[in-house]
Amino acid sequence: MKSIFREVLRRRLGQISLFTRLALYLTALFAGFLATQPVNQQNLDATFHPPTRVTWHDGGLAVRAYRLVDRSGPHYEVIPGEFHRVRLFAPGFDYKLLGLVPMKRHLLQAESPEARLYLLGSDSTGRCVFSRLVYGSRVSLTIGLIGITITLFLGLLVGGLSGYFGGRIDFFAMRGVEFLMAIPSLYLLLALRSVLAPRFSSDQMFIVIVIILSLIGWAGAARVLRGMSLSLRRRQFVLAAESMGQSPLRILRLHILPNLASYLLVAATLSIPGYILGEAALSFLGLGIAEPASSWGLMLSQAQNIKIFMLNFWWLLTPGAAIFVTVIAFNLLGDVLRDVVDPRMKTQ
Amino acid sequence: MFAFILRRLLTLIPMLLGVTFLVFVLMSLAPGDFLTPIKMQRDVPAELIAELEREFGLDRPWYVQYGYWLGNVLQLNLGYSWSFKVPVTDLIGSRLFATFLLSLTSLLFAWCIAIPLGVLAAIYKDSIFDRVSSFLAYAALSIPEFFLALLAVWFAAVTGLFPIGGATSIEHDFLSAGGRIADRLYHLVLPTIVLGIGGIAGLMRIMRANFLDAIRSDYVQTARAKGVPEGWVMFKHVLRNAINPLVSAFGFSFSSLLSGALIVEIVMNYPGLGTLIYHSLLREDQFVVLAAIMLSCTMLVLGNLLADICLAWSDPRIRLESRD
Amino acid sequence: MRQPAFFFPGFVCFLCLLLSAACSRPPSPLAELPVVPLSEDAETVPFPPGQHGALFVSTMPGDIATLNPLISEDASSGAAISRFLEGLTTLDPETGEIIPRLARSWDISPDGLQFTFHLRRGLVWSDGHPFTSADVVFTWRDAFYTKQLDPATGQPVIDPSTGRPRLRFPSRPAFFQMIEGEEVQVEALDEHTVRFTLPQVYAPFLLFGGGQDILPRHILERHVADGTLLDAWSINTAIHRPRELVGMGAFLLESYRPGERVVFRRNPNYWRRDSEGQRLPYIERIITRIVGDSNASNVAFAQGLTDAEGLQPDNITWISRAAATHDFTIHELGPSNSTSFVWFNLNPGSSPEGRPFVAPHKMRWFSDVRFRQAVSYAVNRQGVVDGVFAGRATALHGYVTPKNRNWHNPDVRRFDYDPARARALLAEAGFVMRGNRLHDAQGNPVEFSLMTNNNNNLRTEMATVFAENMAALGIRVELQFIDFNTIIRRTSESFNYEAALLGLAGGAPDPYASKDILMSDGRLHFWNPQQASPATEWEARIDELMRLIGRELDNDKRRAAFFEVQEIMAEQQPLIFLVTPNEYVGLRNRWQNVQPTPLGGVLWNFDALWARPN
Repeated sequence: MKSIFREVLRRRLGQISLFTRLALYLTALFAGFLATQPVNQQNLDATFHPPTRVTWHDGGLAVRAYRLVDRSGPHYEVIPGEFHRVRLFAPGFDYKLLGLVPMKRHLLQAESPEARLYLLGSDSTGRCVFSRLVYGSRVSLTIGLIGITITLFLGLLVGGLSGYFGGRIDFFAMRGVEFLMAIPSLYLLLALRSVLAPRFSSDQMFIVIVIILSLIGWAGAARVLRGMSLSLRRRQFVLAAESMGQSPLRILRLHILPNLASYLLVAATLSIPGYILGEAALSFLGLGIAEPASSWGLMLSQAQNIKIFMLNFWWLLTPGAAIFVTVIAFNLLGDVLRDVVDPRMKTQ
Repeated sequence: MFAFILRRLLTLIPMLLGVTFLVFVLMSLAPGDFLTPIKMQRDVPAELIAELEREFGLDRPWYVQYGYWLGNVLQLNLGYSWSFKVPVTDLIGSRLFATFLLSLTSLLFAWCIAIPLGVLAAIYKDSIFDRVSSFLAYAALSIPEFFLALLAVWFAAVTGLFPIGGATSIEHDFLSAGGRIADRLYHLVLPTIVLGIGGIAGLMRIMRANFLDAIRSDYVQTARAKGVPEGWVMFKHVLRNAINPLVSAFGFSFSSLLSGALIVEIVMNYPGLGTLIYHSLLREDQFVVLAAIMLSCTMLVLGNLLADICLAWSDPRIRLESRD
Repeated sequence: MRQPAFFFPGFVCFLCLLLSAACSRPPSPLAELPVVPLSEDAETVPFPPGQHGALFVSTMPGDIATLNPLISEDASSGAAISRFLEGLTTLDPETGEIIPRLARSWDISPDGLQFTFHLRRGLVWSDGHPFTSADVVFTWRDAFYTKQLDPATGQPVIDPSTGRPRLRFPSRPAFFQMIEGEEVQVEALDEHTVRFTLPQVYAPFLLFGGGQDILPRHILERHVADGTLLDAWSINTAIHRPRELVGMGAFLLESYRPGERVVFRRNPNYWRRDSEGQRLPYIERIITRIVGDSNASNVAFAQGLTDAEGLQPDNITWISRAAATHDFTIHELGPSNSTSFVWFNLNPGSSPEGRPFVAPHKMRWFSDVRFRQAVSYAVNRQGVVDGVFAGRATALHGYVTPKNRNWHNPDVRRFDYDPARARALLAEAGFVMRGNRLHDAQGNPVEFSLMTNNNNNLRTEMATVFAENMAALGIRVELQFIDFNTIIRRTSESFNYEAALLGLAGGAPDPYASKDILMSDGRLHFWNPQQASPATEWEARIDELMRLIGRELDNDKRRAAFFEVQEIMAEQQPLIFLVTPNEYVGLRNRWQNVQPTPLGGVLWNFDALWARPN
């Protein structure tokens, strides 16, 4: 495993994708520290506020002051010559670092309460898009990890066992898998979600979505894993272990699993984007994470409103860019890993 | 051959049964039914609601409803749309056609872009072109479809170059035959690009790899040794062999396009099967959902079948067998 | 090796074939209709004469579901139906009074039980068939009141739950045209006179009964005979046999393409004319494009593709930029008649398992009028107007919006944003602050869940604002965004909720239409529906007033009673009203005779609008 890691780091693309991912996960972990405002703080006098410009002024960081020119736009203008001081590592609203340690310090805070610190503008109720983006990264980044864990666990269990035992178990398991694969997944997703929605609160919805996504996704993994364990099954060392009387579960764990590990790693990395995109699409359609929680797909659904385009509130599209960067980082890493783990699969 | 096709089609039956059963259970578990919005209107008497519930069998347990439905389907009656008040078959035809058309054009689009790009990337392997095109393919693969659709709507809204939504324009019926085709194509441009882009990346990479394999193969070396001009070698021997595997991808990518169209249709407001399913699901219009899901499952199986047949047809070495 | 290269051109050919198959279907023009000369009884409209022949292009959000007025439930179908069917009376879009339509005049007997309508003479249906009292009688007697007969005995089937005969064609208008469950007697006195005899005095009959769309007997008779009335005039009829859609309206459906467009053409036999004797309407065709949502239709209008469009308040800014380029005007019509409100579940009952719908301590808060008033004071309505609606909405203080001038009581108690007053009221009711959370006298932290539907952007934003306003009082609100269906199920069947935010669209032209909402036994008495007897004194008083409104024929007395209802509603705050969006309509400047009114909008005199043919 260590050598794989080193090998990945040796490649340019590997470095880029690993560092991007590192940055993303750090963002998610330290969301409270990075956020400039509480995630749900509204300001009805500053809806659709443009990103505030941060400048160097008078020997320190400062933001420009803005004035609401036309409420019906709404349209804001910079007030010339007026600045508000902002500070690094300054105290602000309360949050819990890593969800445990109560803290007040933030990366960037405005000194006076009149200052509007919207690094990426504000949305339709005057909430800070940057802060919501930072908090929303938690959803997108964890949903892939949790989802893939459930998927691989199920896939390994069903695929590995049916490949190992073969016969009737194998037959029924594979028919089940084919059945699942035949269902157009998005429709199933919609149906499941509408059934489950009323039984859960918006906080629990996150978990429900992960479970739905992974329940649909495990079939493909199970099929491949079955094939691999089927071929491993006939290898000398497994036959030897069997003749020594080891239990099937033990054989699976000690002999088959380690040989599947590299495949699992690649498969996991390559299928995580599926979960991220799945959650985003669901939330975008209004069927996933709900307000006031924040997720990238949900934030983008606000951008469906045509006035966002017409009035050029481009900052509301930034969640789309965030999804794009995240997904491309995972895809790149998956490809690099595949090259490293199995050069034969390499696309020349 | 026929036995093979027949066997494939037979596997459809348990699958469709299973899928529809699942959908029926799920929809019966879902709260509310299509009458719920009516209950909200202030002048609908309770007697009418009770009457309608009886009429549509909503007061029966779901398995009884499923039984009724299954019986009707066997008589080729797909049921009745509660919210549109017409037989489902009438509703689905035009929508199915629109989605089918969109899938075909996006497939065509993806192929037209991916094959030349893949070939060029293989010929000029490791050049700037190769790198840029593979990066673009990556990017295309990573953009969420709905985001791309959103950007397309934005593009259409801001520039006014393309229509926003719909499959035909307002004056469609008053155009000449040629004008109508052009009008239809014009409305297909943006949805086609949005839906097609996702497919390009995969196809291009396969094409590139195949082409490289083919270049190194013996018969190409032989042809070159015989002094056949390089361009002719590339076209006649390499390209034709490299395209083969793509043919099998045809069927599969077709079925995946069909379901991928759902989000694109919704965001871009294209009147296809996807929008119909989405709205019917929201309205709990059970029979429409069932019929549409059945159709798309059938499409999936037929797509895979088509892929196998195409492959056998293009490469006689492959025989049709019932594979595990 | 075979030639896969053939595959590709073959594929392209196939595609072209498909396309041409899609497009080769010719439009199906309505065959020429026989034109019957205008009768002397035709109405002359008070507008300057215009010119025939223009094409009117519009959009509608959502597809039509049916053209049968008996089963139509959605707005799009209703709009399409109202193009070709008309009633005996209608509301004057300027004064809000009831004015003649297909009936020329009417008499009401002194006891208020008999309404005699005199129909205009010499009018014909769009296919040239004469319009007579037989059509009116058919609509009530055959389409609405036909009984379901037991095939064995030939006797009407009695519904065990109501004890009344079951209807053969149960429909919304049929039940709506019964008064407290009793039928209205309809008889034709002669070819142009119809008399309605009511079972009891029913004040809104002139509007509700008179406004009923009349159905053509000569077309629908056979559907009554063979029992297919509810299946008649489906969208299949519209697709394949539009000629069967016969009406008295200004326009006729010409062709329909599901999900794409509806085309109407002018009714050559319409019964109104201008001062020069030209037959209305002037517009030759209306092409209505079906689009997914109001966003898309707003865009189409801003691009100059359509002639008229109801504009969303938050879209006005950017659409108005295109006004000069595409030569249109945006008419502001003031507050609309749609409302939004929050209410608390005040249902004291218990679920079948014996669990109370609302926890007893929460019920104590919700049923305390001071708590509801405090919540109302804490809602920043102006903030919602400014922030969410970009200033293009109006704060709402009562049950009737200002649009409905005749029935709106402007002097009800107002709850303007005043958090200090809200805190004072809460303190008076025994609530105390501990830290930054509000607690009741027993020490329970004050928190509740609020549900609203997830497919309405503006409503979602209002809910988040409401939650933040409550947080300022130390009240925690858990927002639940759920499907509309689930909300309705919870508020009307399972009662398993604490608070909800919903809206009502389309204020009724007569207060009695609100009886299901306002009266304590109503099905839509949101906070505590279908009570056996009124739970509170103020609800009992509202019941009494509403009964008076139903019986009283004198308009001033009715208005006084309804004003009192609005005062009670404002004082008690069972529904905490938020805002009403303002109404905007855009119309291309080429249209003449445009006279917008707040009540009727811009297109109320559609049949008299004209433009130079394009």
